[in-house]
Amino acid sequence: MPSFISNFRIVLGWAAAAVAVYAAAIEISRPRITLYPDQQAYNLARAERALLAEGHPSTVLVGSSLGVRIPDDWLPENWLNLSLGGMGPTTGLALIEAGGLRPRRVVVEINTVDVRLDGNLQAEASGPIPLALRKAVRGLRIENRPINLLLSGFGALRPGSHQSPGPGGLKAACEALPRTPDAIAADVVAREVERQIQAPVPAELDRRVSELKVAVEKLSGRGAEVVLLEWPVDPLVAAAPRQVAIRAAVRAALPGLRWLSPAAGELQTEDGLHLAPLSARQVACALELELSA
Amino acid sequence: MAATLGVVANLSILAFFKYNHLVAASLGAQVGQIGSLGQALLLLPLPVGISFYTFHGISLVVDAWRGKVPKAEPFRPARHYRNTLLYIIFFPQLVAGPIVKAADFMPQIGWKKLDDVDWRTVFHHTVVGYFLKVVIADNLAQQTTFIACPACQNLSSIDLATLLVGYSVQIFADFCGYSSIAIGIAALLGYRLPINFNRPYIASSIADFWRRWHISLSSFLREYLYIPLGGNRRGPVRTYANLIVVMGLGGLWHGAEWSYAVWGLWHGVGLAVERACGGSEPTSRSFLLRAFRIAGVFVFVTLGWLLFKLPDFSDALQYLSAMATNTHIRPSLLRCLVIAAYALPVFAYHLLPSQRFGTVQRQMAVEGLLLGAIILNSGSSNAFIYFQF
Repeated sequence: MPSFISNFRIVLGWAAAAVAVYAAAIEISRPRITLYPDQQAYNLARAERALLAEGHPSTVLVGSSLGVRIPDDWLPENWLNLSLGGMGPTTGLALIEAGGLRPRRVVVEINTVDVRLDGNLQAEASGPIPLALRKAVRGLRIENRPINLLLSGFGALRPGSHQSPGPGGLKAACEALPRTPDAIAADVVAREVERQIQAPVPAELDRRVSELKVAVEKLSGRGAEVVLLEWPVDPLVAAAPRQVAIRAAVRAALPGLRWLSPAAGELQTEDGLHLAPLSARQVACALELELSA
Repeated sequence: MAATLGVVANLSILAFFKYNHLVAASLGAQVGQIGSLGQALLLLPLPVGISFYTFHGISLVVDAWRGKVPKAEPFRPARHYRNTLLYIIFFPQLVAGPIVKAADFMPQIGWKKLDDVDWRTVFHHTVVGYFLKVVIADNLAQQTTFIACPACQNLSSIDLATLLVGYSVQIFADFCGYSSIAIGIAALLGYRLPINFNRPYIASSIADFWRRWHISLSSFLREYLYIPLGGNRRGPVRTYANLIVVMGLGGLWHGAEWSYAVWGLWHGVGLAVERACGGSEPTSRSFLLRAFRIAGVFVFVTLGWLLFKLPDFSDALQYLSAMATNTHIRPSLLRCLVIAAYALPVFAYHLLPSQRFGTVQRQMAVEGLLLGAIILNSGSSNAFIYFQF
């Protein structure tokens, strides 16, 4: 019967070898991860990026799944998209703080200001492998998990899945975008409108907006420009009580800030709220244009 | 008489804590008339692991009555009390099993030495258990949150079927993972716990499935309920009735919801029909026929799990109906790929038992690779599914 020592040595040795080979392969190939198995995996990878504070982004975009629709390729290189599925902007702002990021500009989505901060995401993204180790070894990062690699490889094989702007650069790609809207099912929009009819509880909304105000003041105090962004949504959703209440509360609490509502022709959403792929790229282009003006 | 009282006392405690809400809800309007004391009792929280240690209590009473539990010599009340407590609340398997019979556990109680620890069992079961839980079950849990209605109406038939298979794999990985970790940790403390799973998804009959799934529960139900009810010795009709009653009660043991009872009855009726048709002990050696039977049992069992995930009958029916009608919706290849990727190791585990790996060295190499997967691809932590029972 093998003893503790031999069990420990052999099992751990094989585990270490497997991890080392994988880490070396990741280090050499530097794969581009474009697909995640689920929203939680995506959020964790994004949170990890913020906590590792690599690349010192000049602009950080915080918000919800509305911003997740913008592919990384369609944002300028030194931007970090911290839009997180199922969450609001305050979670992204907390990650900026925790990661010690010092961006020149922070773009805050307001459509989901009523969603409360999720502290679990930061806690989960911070462990169990120490961040310092993950910073040094790419293969240990959440972003480079084998399942993400497998899916991204699969995605790259699918025809038409590659949405990057191409060799001409972002500007040329923006100009070349077709104007034909994506197809959409009306009944899905109707369901979303029904959901948006429920306005947030005023006291709750006030609390969320106050939290946002504190975070914004902190960022402004450090010299960052804070810009408020209202993602374009279906006109029926935009006119629904939830969005109207949020807009009014944010305008009242943060009156002096720049407010962007990028419009890019005839936009389409997939469900009344989330932009369809083509429209998402059009909005990304419009957003960059407005911010560079 | 004392043994009967002991069993009744154990069952009463379980019934009081676990089924009070079910009874109150089923009585409907009368709840308002039970007064403030009754309301206060209804609000008492469910003690963690009560379903499991109630069975330990029953096993202790019955095995002692049958003379299967040896008394520690010389008999001292304090030591006897300490041993009894250790058996009932032995922490590695307290919350979700495996259920250990008193006759198997009590003789193991005694001083342990580090030299006696079976390190092979410790490493093998702990690593495999953690792999099943944190790599397979926790990652699949993110996918199977989509098994929900009315949202199920927007998913394609293929997605819905794949999700159900994913849940079948998840519940196995989650529960087998817990049992395996419990066996590993118990071995670290010098105790042997019985294996709880033996590749259940290659069962070629429902009876075979129950000899492979949650083995400690099925053997407990057989020994302490099915056989005392008469088992198969009182004619076919009584045998079928016994099977249905035992499985119905076994289902209800899982949780205070009628859906669990229906899940148990689903299996009970399945067992009875299978027995009536002579399919409990398949004799054919044809590979194709055996594969067909295995697939049939897997589909039967997987459909049953839907009641675990969607305890509301209308939701479960809506799910099945969407699965039958949403053939026009395009499936999500990505979701199917994720579920297939996580299901693959579980099916490989079923088809390639560890003995096939040959030498102990090779087994340890495989465990090392599993440990590597734990480091590289663990999912977000979720409570074990069986903790709710």
